[in-house]
Amino acid sequence: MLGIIRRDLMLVWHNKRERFFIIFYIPFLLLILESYEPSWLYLTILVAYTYLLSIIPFSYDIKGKSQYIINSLPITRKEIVFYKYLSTFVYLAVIIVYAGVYLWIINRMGIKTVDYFDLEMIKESIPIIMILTSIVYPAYFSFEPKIAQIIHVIVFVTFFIGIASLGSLGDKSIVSNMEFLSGRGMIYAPIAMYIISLFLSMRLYKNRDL
Amino acid sequence: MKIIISNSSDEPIYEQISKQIKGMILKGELKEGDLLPSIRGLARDLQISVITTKRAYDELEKEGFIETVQGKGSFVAAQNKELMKEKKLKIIEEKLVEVVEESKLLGLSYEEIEEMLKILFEEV
Amino acid sequence: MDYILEVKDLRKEFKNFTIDDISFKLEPGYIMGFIGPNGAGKSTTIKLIMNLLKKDGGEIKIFGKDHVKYEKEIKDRIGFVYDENYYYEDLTINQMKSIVAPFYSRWDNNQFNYYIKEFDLNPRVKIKTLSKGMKMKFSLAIALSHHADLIIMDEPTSGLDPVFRREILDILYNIIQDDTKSIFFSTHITTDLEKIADYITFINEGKVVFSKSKDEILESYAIVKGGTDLLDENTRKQFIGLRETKVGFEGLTDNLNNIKSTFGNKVLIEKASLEDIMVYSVRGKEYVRDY
Repeated sequence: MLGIIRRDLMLVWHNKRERFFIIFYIPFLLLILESYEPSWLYLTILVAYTYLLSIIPFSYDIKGKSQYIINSLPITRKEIVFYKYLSTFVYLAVIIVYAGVYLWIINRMGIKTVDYFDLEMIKESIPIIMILTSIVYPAYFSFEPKIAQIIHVIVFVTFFIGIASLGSLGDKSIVSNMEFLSGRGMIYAPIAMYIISLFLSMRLYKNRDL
Repeated sequence: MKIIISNSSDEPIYEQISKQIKGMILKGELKEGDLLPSIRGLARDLQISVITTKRAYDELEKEGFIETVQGKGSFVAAQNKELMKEKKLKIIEEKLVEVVEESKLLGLSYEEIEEMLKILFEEV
Repeated sequence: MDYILEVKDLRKEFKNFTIDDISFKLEPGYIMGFIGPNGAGKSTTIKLIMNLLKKDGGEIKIFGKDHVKYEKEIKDRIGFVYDENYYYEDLTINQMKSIVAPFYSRWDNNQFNYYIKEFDLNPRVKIKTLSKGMKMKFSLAIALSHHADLIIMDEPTSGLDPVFRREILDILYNIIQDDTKSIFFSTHITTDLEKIADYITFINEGKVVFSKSKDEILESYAIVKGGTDLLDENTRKQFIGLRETKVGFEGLTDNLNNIKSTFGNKVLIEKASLEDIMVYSVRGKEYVRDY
């Protein structure tokens, strides 16, 4: 049910701190990653935003046990997990539009030249997002929120360091660096990982005491 | 229609209810065919349990004072005039037995009680 | 369906605490009060019923169906109110409602607006600005706005003033006018239940002490008061709980006949309140020599 997705979007948007973050993170990234390629920047924004958008709703469970409410509604644990995994792609779509418009404005204002839509990068972002979330989602579904948060931070920081070092390989275009990822075979692994993660989360969440 | 229950009385609430309804029927304040409040409505008005009002009504039905029709409610049953008189007398008889027992315990004579009755009938 | 809620031999083990052999049944059209001291297992039982915690043993049936197997269709007909407000604090009442409402097949927006108005709530304010009482009213508004057949409440009135608690009772009475609906209500404030409850289940230290109709309970227990000279080894045994002071004793019994034959009219016998029953049952024989 779209209720879960609607809830996530509302939670992110209606919290002042999160909203502030969503609006200013793009310029922030553009600022600290000045020298990197436009397409690489675009990729980073896509992945970072989609990933964070997916994770933020989980943080609400740390403060108040809102899981009690959601789980008391007519929805099964399996469905909660399934819609979460589905929502990742919804957020990606949302971010593509959001970042697209935002970056387009930045381009027009002449602040910086940056890709605001790049199909290739979108395709590249998908496996990365899937890999990141397939590690972190099960953590949130089975561990205490605080512990899961630690895992999330580790994963995210690792991603950032990884992508930063890849990007800083200088002249070599990020695209060529990523070429090894766009081979047909390589898309299957992340998909498989995502699906395995889905079933794992369902299993873990089904038997969990909230 | 008036039903007042006392929480501090020793008498169980369901009995208080059935007694009061019985009284109203015997006095003619409630007539044959009159609809009584639903057991749930009465429970809400008196702020007591539905089981209590149900019990009161069950007793009234057992003694022939009311009839319950599924889906419609409870109605005052046809009261045979003879039976009514008998029921009234029975209630008074029960009370008088208590009075007689107590008088004998305290050593009062029949004449003293009779005197008291006379006065009370005039005063009350 | 015979019972709207049926719990049989429910068991759950924690590290320091176990609830065991929990059994009780509730028919449609009645209110069951679930009482017990803090930590007795009331919230745990409710969480197990709602499948928020996983049971280790036993059976739970709601509307005649297994509560896990048919979880979704069952929860569609359950209105729940918990003691802590677990809603998202940064959202407004309307926003929270817009998240919850689509989950229910019989959501009634008119009813929701009616309750919001009745409860004097402003739907545009953020949940975090609401007082505890208002949060509870909001929870209740949600619980009552999707034509639920079973209302489950976990300590909904703790921390609320008596005026407000009476208002809640009025609302519950109105719900129960429909004899197909039931209410299951846990609390340690027994005065709330003394009026309205049809059945009472008393839980202590993870076990059910009794589960009977309220009338039956209040009729079978009594408070006995008398002089301490009347007590000795044997007579003390007749009490479930006893409190002795320099000026006399007060005890709880569930066997009035025994007491009457033992003490005759040397003792004063009074009605026991639910609170008396709970306190004496919990304190038991330890509640002695309380000077």
